[in-house]
Amino acid sequence: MVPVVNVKGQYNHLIVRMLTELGAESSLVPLSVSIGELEEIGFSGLVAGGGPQSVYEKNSRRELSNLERLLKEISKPLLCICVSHQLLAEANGGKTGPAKEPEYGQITVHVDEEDEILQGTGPSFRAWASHNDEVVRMPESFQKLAHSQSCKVEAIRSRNRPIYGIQFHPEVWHTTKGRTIFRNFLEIVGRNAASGR
Amino acid sequence: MTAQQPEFDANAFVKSQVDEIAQRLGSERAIIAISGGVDSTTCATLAYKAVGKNLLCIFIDTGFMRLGEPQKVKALLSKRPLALPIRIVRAQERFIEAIGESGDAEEKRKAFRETFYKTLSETANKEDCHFLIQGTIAPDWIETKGGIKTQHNVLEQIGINSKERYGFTIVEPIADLYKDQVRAVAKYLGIQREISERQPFPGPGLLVRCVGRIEPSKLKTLKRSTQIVEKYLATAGGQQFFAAVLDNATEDHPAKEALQKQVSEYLKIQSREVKVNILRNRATGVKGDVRAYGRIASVSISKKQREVHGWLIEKLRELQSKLTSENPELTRILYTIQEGKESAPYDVAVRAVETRDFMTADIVAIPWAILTAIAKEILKKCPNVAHVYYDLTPKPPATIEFE
Repeated sequence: MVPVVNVKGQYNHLIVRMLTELGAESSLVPLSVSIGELEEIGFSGLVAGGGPQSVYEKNSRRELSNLERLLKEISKPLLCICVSHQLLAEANGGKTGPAKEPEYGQITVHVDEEDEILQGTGPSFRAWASHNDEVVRMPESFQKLAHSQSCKVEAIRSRNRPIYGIQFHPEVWHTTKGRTIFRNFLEIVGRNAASGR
Repeated sequence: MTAQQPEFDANAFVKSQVDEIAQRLGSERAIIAISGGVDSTTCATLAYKAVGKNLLCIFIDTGFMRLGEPQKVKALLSKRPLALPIRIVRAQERFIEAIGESGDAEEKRKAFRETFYKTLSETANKEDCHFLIQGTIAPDWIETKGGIKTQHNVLEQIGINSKERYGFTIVEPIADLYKDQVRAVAKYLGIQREISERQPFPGPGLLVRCVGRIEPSKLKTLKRSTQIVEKYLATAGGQQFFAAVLDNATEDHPAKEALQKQVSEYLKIQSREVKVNILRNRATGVKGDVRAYGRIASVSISKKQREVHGWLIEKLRELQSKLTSENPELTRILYTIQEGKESAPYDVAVRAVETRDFMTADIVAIPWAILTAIAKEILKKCPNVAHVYYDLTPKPPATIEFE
């Protein structure tokens, strides 16, 4: 079971659709979901979607405080998209801010590090993005995996845990390698579950 | 699509939904408003299978339909294999009156929605129907909940109690499906290709393509242009293509000069051969999951340069991306195909996009020769049009429709 935290963006539903199409069990869970509730439904990994919030803005941060705690405490594989990716960076000591060149619609993602989550997507692919903010300083315990012409940090991973952040939207149809990214994530989830963690 | 992907099971879906509708309705009567699109037709077919003659199918003629549409839809659905009994309810004057002078996208949609449900509930009460079957699909309510647009047919998700306000309970058999899945169900049900593959027509119809204030001559221009665009793009237009009509009115915006400079530098065309305008009308868009009732910019290059450079589609695509990124207010960029009489009151924008589920959309590279043919015919048949544009904006930052 790989639930998707509904961060109230338009595309959160498409993540569930994508995971289901790839053969995983999935459903939307609210922003207020607790670790206990996630354990009850037998989650083996978690995806957090996009939303309209700005994580450096006080009220938004409060709205996302439960998710922020989850991102810090969960040891299972995590995939954080768009606003959740920004939250992930902040939660680990990085910094976000308004993008100098916000991206809407088509972008080209250049893969710096194929790693596990972006395996099979390099050297570059067409993606769809929609964000006003971006990560302006990387958290130290994270590694950068991809960039675009306007945005330096399109994808990140933790150096210590199977935790990933992606700025663009791999769940929408126009992102050409989106399915590959979710398949990679499900493989990571599968391997992690098999190792008994 | 890969081999690993389990196919959506239309057979199982139809079986479970027909059972569910039959169970929920029992021996009660239900009403459905048909638009001739795949969503409402699929729902009507499911409900008809479930409760037969206890279903009343009506077609509300709002006046915001394409030329001849009510009659065409009635004829098509009355035919086998669907053989749905359809009644046309005329309500044009009511809608025009309710929308009145408002030029604001959300106000127009709300007035439309209120009139739509009032008309529907009057018929339902007369006919003793306590249920309303509705063809809401996933993107409709996702967008409404996110506050991006008001779809006319979504009530419960936005907290309107339909039972109290209109006297019926809403049943939405396909609310969890995306468009491509609905088409699969329609195909399975034997619904004619003409309907199952028909491009989506928005609930409020041409209202959302008649940008700004509604005027009879403006609506007429839109209907004519729609016919022309559909004729030319039937084979080359992507999944969704249409015309929109705007006011030929610009604003003295402080950013105008800077924009002009940006465009001229980017296209490497001298500044005096480039013209950028900010239109008075606004259009809905979505930037970073936030609704934006944004500005529309029109970009024109001189006729001579248009001839020299031809159709700069890739370049213009990038220009669009740059302009909407660097100017927070802008959510739409239109590119001039051809000019008519400068003093004419209206403009027409041609839009064609490719999309799977209408959540994201890319523009289609329609050949320049086709676009100019469309523009010429629009200008000839509609002398009240000053400019014919092509809409360069994907979703996001624009939405597919204008309002």
